[in-house]
Amino acid sequence: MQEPLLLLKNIHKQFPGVKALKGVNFSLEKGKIVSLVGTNGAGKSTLSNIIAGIYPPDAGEIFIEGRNVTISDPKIAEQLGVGIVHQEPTLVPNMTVVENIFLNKEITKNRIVLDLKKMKQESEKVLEFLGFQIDVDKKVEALTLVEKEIVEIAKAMLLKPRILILDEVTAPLNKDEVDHLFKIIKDLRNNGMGIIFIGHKLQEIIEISDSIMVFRDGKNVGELIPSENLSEKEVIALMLGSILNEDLVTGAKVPDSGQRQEVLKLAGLSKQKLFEDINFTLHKGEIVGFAGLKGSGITELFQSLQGIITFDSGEMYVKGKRVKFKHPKDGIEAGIGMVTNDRQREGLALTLDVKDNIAVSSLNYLRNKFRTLNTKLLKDNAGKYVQALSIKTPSINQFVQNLSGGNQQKIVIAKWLLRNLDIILVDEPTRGVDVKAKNEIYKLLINEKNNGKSLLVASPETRELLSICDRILIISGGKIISEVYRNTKEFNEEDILNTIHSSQRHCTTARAVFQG
Amino acid sequence: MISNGLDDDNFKKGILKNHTFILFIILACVMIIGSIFVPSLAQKGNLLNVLRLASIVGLAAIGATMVLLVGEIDLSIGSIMSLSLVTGGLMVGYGSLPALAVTCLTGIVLGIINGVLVTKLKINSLMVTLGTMSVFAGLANVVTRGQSIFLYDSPLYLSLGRGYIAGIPVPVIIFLFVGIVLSIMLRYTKTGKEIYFTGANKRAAWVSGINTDKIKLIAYSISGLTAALAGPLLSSQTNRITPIQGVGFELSAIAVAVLGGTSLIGGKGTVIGTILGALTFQLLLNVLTLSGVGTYMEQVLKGFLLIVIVVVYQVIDKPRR
Amino acid sequence: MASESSSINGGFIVPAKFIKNNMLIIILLLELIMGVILSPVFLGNTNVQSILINTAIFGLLAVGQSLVMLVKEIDLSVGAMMAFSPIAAIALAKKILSASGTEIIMGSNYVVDGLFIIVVLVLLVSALIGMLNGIIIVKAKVPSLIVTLGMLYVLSGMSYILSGGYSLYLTNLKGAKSLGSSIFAGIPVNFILFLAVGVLVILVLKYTKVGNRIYSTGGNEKAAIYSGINTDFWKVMAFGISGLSAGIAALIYSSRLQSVETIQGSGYELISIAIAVIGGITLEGGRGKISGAIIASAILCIMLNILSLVGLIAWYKTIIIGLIIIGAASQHAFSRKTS
Repeated sequence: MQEPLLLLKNIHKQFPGVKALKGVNFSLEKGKIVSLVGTNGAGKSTLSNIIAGIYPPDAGEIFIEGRNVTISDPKIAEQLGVGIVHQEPTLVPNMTVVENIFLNKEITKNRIVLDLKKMKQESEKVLEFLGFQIDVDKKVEALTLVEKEIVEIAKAMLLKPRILILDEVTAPLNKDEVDHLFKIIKDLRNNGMGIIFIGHKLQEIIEISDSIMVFRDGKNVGELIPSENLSEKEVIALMLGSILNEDLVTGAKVPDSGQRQEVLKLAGLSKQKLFEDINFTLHKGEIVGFAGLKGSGITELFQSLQGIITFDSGEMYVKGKRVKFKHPKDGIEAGIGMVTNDRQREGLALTLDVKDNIAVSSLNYLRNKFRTLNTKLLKDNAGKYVQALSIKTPSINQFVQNLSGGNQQKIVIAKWLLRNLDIILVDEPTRGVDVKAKNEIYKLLINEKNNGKSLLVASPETRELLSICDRILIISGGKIISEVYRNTKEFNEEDILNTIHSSQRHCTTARAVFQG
Repeated sequence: MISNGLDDDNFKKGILKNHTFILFIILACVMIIGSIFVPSLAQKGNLLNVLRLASIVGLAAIGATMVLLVGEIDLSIGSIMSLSLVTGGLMVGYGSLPALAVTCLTGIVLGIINGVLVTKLKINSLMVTLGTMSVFAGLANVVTRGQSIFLYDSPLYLSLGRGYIAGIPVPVIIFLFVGIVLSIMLRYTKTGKEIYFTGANKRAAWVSGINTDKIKLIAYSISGLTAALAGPLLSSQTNRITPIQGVGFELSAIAVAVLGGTSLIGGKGTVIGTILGALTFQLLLNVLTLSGVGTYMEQVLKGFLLIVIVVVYQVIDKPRR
Repeated sequence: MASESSSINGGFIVPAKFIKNNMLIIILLLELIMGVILSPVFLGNTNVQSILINTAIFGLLAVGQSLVMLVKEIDLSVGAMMAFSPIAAIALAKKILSASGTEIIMGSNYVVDGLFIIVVLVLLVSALIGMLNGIIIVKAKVPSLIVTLGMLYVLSGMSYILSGGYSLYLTNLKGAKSLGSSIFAGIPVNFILFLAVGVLVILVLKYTKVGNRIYSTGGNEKAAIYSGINTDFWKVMAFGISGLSAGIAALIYSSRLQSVETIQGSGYELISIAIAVIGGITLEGGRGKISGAIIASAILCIMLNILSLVGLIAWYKTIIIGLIIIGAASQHAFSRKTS
């Protein structure tokens, strides 16, 4: 039998405090696409980083075409024929596309002087092969998200690797772009390349893979072969180790808007190039979803509702009172807070403890008559929400950076709950949160709705919106193009995605990056 | 079960990683070893002198700590000291109190100027205060035409730096008072919490409803005020105000703050740490002076100590990954 | 091609863009015009030479500082290095040569011999200490601001200890005068040396792998590491070059003055940062061009010269330097916001 292209035997890796990999065995054949799936922290990215030479394994052996190798740094991985697109961006903003593609792989004349012309030609060649035309002399910071992702892939493809690792490459791409990319990946596979694909979107994974490796707690726990019959549910079950509690129960009471109190009303809200003529009303005790692609303007709409950015024109009413916020604190004072999609950057002080993070927006109400803080009240309140939201932390004095993504997200939500806001805007509630914590966050949001709060939720996962929202607004190009209510027949994933994508096709304007 | 207090395990692990605790140990060691080799160290007169000098640099360092806590830096501390001293000095003829009042007021105003430039122009604070450092230093010379102002006729002014109350040097009392007030502010007021949050993550603080510009402005004005307060304490040691009195003081102040465990990135540090930092700093210099290594060797060891301490803290704080 | 399309822009936009892209040169020319108008001696031989020599000294410091800032660090020790490197070199040379029976110091403090070995030692000492800064910063992962601040203390203290606070005179040192005052075609040789260093750095950054290493280290360190670049090495190199250029600046300074002062260079670290910022190098790392820093050093030196010629005392110069730092930094902040 032929030696596998890549064979890993009993790989162990420990980081201080965490056993990331506990004896992983893995093999990749020539001309195959193997996907790695698992919850966050299951070990997928650690494994790919070991193959790419970012850090060495503590124990275990790596064989490439039967040869035992030590991959001590990225350069060696490259020489062994490993190409990788990392999950996080690895481009230098102030350098050009060529310089980025050839970073540390520069072509020189007489070993000293750079051969700028040749590098330019080669870069154009790789991009052309990928089916994209990008000005290679442009600085990377001037590119769109999609273009950046393509440059990342081009960088990995430059030296024609035998093994290609793609870690979450589809995130910024739309459906057409993903389809196009998958066509290329399949071509590469058919030419004998071995491909490791890491992703969170299970549908995509089932579509592209020859085999799916499931990771759990630093071990690979099973291999699934995609077929007509393989459902996402089976994959998730293996990821979680137990069958997922069936679909979530929602509040399921369809809002009877006639009788409900209006808490937020928008009339013709617009901001140049971001959103336009947004009209809608939110009621007490309602969760309204916003479905749309990345860049559709939902994030900015939410931001303008709290005053993180300001809208240009239109009217906004909170409980009947006309408002326009200039500063985030104005929104909070009016009872509106946003859980942003980047909690580490915009939601938390990672180096401070749980209680201070929960209390930060409510300090005015945690003071005694001398206007100094009532520390006992502060601790009690923080403790109350830690318990109510079942935030897993050894104590309220734990630094937030030591908690998992799901628990960090709950702390951001707890911050607004303690402040007793009426309207909470949640942008991507479960970004970077593992499947188990996802369910807890859904329950939490529904619970708050039942307590009389009003919520706006935006998510790239339509499924998520379907399970918790009372109605969903579909946004495209900064406009509301449709609205669907729970318990109607349009309230399903397929119809919503179709609406989004068909509108997208009508207004493909500036983002036309495709060749064929 | 969620515990509200520090759980024991965490506490034990924590204390070994606590900069204040480490510094306390270092301070104790310097004291013990120092007095074994240099007996005159432990004499009351000498210790009071150490305390007095530590108070002066410590005051400015507390201001530096405030600014570092909000994630910025203040390189203009020394120049603020010089400029506020000389503007106050112009008033010496009208009495000590007007002079001192003008000095403090100037310090606050200069601090506010820094704060406004940093928050409104949104320029890197290193650059802003590098610039104002130069501007204020130049102005200090312009104000007095480079001359010194003598203080022999201002007993009250002089007593600020040289006097004693109940046997304790006045600078020490001022230092402790300011230290305690600001320590309480950081720990037990809304502003204090907001200072830490702003330094730990400015964007998140802003989104959470904190007026981060106001917080930075407060930090810079405190820094201006403490620099101005330290000035008269220093100039009364030499009986005169000179327009170059504060030169280089910003570096000592920042060094002391960092020695006290204040992070340069923001959101981490305490006033208590800075106070201990000032004592350690001054005691060490004193040991060196008494053991006769000479002023210049002090300079060398000061720099060496700074590098070593920061490296040690870094090793202790090594992140998990 | 996108690059060609920009030239099709309307006639209105081109000059605005032209001014923006050539801002530094325009300022430099304006200054020259002002100088000629304001002072009759501005174009005089002595004055021009003194401007050129000052530009060489500050420019060298600024080029080194710029490299450090490009890798997203800062070097506060360059000023102290300007005193320490020659003082230490002379002390070392004295030790080495006295072993072979040559005394290089006569009288109380006149250096009389050993120019070559002194020059070599200055370069060696400055480069090694610069690298030591870098090694501490990358190995212990501590902020460069604090390490180089500590080094500033250490070096200036050591300078005092080694010199006892006294100046060392080079008036009787063979070759020292020609080292400091040689002129070629009316231009000080040391200025030509500075330009040569500057052009070399520009060429190396632009046409060899080194440029990509430096810019990626400062621009996105993680990306550089993932591409297999040893960013620690390049940081150490940047600090080494910064130290070395301070050493060369010290040679120019002392050979011109014919003495080595214990306080020479003190405060120059701030001026070097100011020049780098005026030249468009930012503290964010990975941004800006060395050519900008070189032009900026001329801008600053000419400005200071004009201010002296019109009779402004030093204090006002200090104020003006400060205002320029704030102005230049806010200009970058502003252009970043609008872009």
